[in-house]
Amino acid sequence: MSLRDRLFLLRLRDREEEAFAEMVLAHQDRVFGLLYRMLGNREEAEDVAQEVFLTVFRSIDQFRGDAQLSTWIYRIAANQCKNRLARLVRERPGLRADVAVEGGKGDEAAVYEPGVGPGWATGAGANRPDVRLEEQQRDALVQKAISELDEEHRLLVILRDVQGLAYQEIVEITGLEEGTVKSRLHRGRMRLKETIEAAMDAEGERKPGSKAQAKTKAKAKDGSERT
Amino acid sequence: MDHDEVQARFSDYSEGELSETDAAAVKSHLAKCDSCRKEYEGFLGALWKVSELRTQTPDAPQRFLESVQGRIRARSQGRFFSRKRVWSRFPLETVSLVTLLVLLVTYVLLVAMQPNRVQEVLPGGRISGPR
Repeated sequence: MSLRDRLFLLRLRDREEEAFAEMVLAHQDRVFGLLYRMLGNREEAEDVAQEVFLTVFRSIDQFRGDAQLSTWIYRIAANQCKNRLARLVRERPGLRADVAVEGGKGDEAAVYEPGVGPGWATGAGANRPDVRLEEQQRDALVQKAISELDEEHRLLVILRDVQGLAYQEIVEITGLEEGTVKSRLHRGRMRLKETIEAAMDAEGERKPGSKAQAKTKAKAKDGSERT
Repeated sequence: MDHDEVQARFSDYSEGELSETDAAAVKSHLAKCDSCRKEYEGFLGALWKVSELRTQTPDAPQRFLESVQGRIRARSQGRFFSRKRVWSRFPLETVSLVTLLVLLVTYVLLVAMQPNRVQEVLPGGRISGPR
């Protein structure tokens, strides 16, 4: 820990309001982003994020400085998130099956609906409203696939693939061995791949002229020719 | 390597975490196995889509900091963010020593400022009052 970090920690331990504000502003987006992707809901994410910083403030004396402050805050966020998910499941059994999935940045109304939208778009024309809508729907589909993962797989996929953290940092946040992190992450990714592919196939079959629909027709034709 | 062994290494292979020997074995398998190559392309496609969420993840709401500070104040009933009292900024030992010194000086001053009193022992052992 650098001298600057140690001095900053002393200011936090002194409950200095300016230092606390600096710390919240530095970490709020990443913490909120993690919780938003874990919970799939803006209001829940904001509520838990506030609790995270409240806990940081209360427990700052327990932070020994043997890890980065950001890692420690992430660890608190991951724990609070687990508690909230458990509470939500208790209060609303079957939550995972019909988890609310919102769109992402600047997307107040986009909710993934299979069969709606002209398909998947990338690259050129990204500013066109129709292309933007497609991207929002694709993001909502991917978010839904993430929400369907087991909690432990979901956390690892979000930390590594959405937030881009290093393995060492994930190890410190989760308290898992690096080998366990990697094997669970791989299982989560494979599961995610299957879910996304299935959702995209279902999406494609609803669209006239799509490859998936052509494949289905070809199969049907092939079957009828054989009989 | 068989299909399962290759697919179990997709993550490590895509992140360059395999040994040279294992990476070469996976690469060689993918070059000749259409099924595994298709799986690997799907795997990379899914990873790409997930990584794109990074730019689409919303920032914390506006006035988030104020909400947190408000929540802290409400929960702590004013104990947090309060200005530190002067005495709490000094070590207890220093405060004790300074207090003792002040008391000693006060005592000495009080004694020094008292008027001289002359007393005498009267017959019978009684002590006279001050003159």
